[in-house]
Amino acid sequence: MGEPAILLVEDETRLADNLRRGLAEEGFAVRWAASAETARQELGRSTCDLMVLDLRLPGKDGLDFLREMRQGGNTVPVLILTARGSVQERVAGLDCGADDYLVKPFAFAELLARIRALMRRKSAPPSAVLKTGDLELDTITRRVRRAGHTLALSPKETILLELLMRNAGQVVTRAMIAEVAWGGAYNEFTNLIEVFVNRLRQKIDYAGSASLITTVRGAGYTLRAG
Amino acid sequence: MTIRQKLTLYWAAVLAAILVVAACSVFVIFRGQQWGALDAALIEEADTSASAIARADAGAAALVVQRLSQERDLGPAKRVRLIAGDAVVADYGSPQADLPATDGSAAHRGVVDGSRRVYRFAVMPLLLGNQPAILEDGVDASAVRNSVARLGAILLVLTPLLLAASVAGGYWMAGRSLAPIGSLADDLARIDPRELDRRLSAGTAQDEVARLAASINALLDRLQAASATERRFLSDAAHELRTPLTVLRTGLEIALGRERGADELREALRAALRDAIALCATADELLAMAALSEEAFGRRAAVNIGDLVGEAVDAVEPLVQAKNLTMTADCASTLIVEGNPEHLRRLIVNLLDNAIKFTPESGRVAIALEERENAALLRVTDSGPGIAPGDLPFIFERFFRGAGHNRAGSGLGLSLCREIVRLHHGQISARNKPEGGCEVVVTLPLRGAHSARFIPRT
Repeated sequence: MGEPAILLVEDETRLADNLRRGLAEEGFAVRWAASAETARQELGRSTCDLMVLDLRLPGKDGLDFLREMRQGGNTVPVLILTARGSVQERVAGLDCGADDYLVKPFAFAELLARIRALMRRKSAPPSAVLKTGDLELDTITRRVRRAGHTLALSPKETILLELLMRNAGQVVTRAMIAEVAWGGAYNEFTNLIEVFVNRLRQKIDYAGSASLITTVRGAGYTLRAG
Repeated sequence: MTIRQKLTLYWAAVLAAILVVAACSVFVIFRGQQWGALDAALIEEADTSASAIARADAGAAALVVQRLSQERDLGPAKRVRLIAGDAVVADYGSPQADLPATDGSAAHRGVVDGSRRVYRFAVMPLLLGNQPAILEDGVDASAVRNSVARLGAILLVLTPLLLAASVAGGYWMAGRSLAPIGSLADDLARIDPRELDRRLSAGTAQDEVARLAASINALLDRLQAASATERRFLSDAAHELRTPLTVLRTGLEIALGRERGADELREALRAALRDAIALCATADELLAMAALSEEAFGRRAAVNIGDLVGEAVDAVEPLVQAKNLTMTADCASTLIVEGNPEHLRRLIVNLLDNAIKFTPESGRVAIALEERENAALLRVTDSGPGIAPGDLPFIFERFFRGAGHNRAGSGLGLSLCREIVRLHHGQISARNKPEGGCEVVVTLPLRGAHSARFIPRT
């Protein structure tokens, strides 16, 4: 199958160098374009599994490039990098066809987690019932069962579990949790998310055995895959 | 004292003066008229009678006096006397009449009051036979005296009353006229510097208050624009820092993300240090930009540009050596500019830094200083690829970075230069030389000159 290919469209040389090295070490094949024109050429030459696109590019604007790409029928998942993080900018980016949106400066672990989540989303067909180990979540009825027993989860806890299950085995960052559960802004210094995750743990874990949800220090949380 | 009080005080003073003068005038004129009429009539009567007496004999004279004392057209009672020498020849009329005080000397024709100021006498000298005599024709002048006194009393009461009423009215009027200013002040007090959207309502009148409101609104417009510019700058500045910060952060995170050898770690730390230093430089430039935009010029001194060029060339020496460049400096003699030495030094260093950055290895950078038409002309050239023609109009804009591989730096360098030049009333321009490379020209007025005109390139 080979390594998943990422096209990195970034004009700031030092940042591009860092990201290329970091992503390569994580098992991605990274191609680099320093402008929208170069990116278009690269796309013409061969496909990629995901594009990381910095909006501030010399010459053609990143958003325009993205819009044209989508209009041309290209459905590659796109993660936008930008210095502007206002709500309107986010909405504009997502409207133009982006799949996710990261504001600089970001943690590398965050970038990684979101790239993996996007790739997972692309490769896994959307299914109605998620299964991880003996956990089962019906995305339509919103019912959660473990080993056949129905668990009583609040709607938000169900949403959190869904996110963890869709990314089973991978890191889900606090920012991703906040976006999905509360629509975005959260204060990094409160332990709201921790409390949230712990409540979920209390409901889905068996007393005495290790939690299904592992805390990954400095990154986020992972739901055990097997 | 408030304007209202002052206005009212002036008004009261002026009005008081006018009223007092008017009242006095009215009084004096009335009194003059009343007495004048009476006196004239008395004199005429006495005159006629005196002529009659002069022609008559003693008996007839007494008769004239008696008849005269019975006349009632000048007043309710009369007393008439004819005196020759020391003897009273005839004396008729009211016994209560107060006679004029006699002075014994030769009397002359005129009018005089009785000793108790009740009667008024016309004194008429005449010749009785051959003897000098005096006819005293007196009338009870109480009516005239009373009417004059009455007018005096009325004026005395009326004037203060009028004054008081006018002052009160004036005070009220002043209040009404000044009220719009008061409400303007209240409106102004409510304007929060954070929401400069509000404007004063100028009202419908085309008066002084409307003009004041319009001026203040114009000022608020300017403040709002300046505040918006400042906010935009702050937000641009924050964005400028985000990418270098990301570079620094991701570099360190990746380095720490897995087990690495000491060499790799050292390299990562070195890279992080370079990034941190670059961030410091960006922060410096941002602060310099902010300092400039405050319009607080700072120290003003006589600056020798030639010296500054020398210092700047020394300062960038390491960069020159690192790229193996040739740097030539060609400075005229002492050229003194009036300005801020720190800012001017930064200007020259930034220009040199820019030239060095865009010159490839083993290239040439030259800086020349000469005097031209009362200005110092500074010329910095490099042997690099020059500036893309499409970028040329924008290179002095804040945060502008043209398309190009080398995008290091904050993008503020040249716009800082422009700000500094502007503050010193100079001009700055850039062009691509026909033989290749870029040339930036700065003119600064010498001390004593005004602004430098734009010196056309030769």
